[in-house]
Amino acid sequence: MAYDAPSTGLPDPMVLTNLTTDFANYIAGVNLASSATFSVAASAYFVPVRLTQTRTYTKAWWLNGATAAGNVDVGIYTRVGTTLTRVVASTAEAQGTVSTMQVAAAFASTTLTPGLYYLAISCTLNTATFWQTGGGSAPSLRAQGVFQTATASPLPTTATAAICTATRIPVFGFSESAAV
Amino acid sequence: MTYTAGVQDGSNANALTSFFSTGPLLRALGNNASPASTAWPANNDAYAVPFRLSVPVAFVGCFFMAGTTPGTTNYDLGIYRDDFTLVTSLGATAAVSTTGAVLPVGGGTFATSVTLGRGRYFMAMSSAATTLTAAAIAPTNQVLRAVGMFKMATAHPLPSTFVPASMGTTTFMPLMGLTTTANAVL
Repeated sequence: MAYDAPSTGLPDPMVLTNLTTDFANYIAGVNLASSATFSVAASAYFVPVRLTQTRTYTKAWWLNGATAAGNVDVGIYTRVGTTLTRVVASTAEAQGTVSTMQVAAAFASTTLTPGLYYLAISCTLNTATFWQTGGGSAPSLRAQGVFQTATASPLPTTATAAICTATRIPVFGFSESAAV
Repeated sequence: MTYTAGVQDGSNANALTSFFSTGPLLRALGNNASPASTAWPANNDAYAVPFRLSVPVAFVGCFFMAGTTPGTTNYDLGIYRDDFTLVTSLGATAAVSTTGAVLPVGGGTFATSVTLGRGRYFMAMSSAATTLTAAAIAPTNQVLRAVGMFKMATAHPLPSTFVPASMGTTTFMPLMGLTTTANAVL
């Protein structure tokens, strides 16, 4: 007979971001988010989050910076070893209005069971700017469990996790609520 | 045999505020500004700020911090579940026009204290008019949407169901809070 342990700690937020509590606490102690260019064109970045309960996400979004360029998509992956497998992703679309939250035009409502997932974002151009964390160094992001993959825009079905060399990650996420 | 669960990460404060519940994320998202007196954005608008509890907490009341000219218009404060149904609210309450006051004076008391279990909730506030000023922050780049804040038009006094709308371009988070003990010195 299976035993489902009760959830403890804080419940998952309704609007899920790549800035989890630990991540946000860490980042808040380092630098504030601001507009910055995407680190490497066509790369994808994967940020770990752990869900404690079954959740259904209906919207995907990201925060644009002060200038817009390129195509963006965001998604959610699972990981076994160094292989990241896509669960869902938006359809790559052009960056729109600057300095705003851009909600993906196409995203399939997706239910995730409790566990570890990786929130992913890719962009075709490194001239695109996003509202990004002020992480400060690649080692600090590696320590937070962030991976990257080259030549991964749009987000692929599977990807091989590589060491993160970026110093900042765009702020993006997913919402259970249709309004965000 | 009695089993008593250990406390996970509860706050030792007797007040849970909108800034506390969103603080680390808000700061990471770029907001490190102090609150400033700000006019209520629109007549009868309500604003909901998310908070999460890891353990059950009993709340007895609520408050907000007034701006420089709160006036005497009516406002309301309350709590919603994550399905946006109302747990409890003060009901329409007239402001007292004292600069920088905590209102209701001494903290408002719910008709009955409410115990919220581990879960996700929203603290919400509405105002009948834009003449009300509140201590508030105004983060840039629409980060309040990323924090999980919502608004609702025509929502004063606070309705039994909060219909969440996007914050859109609205940059306004009032300093409001819930109290776990009656506190006349607020």
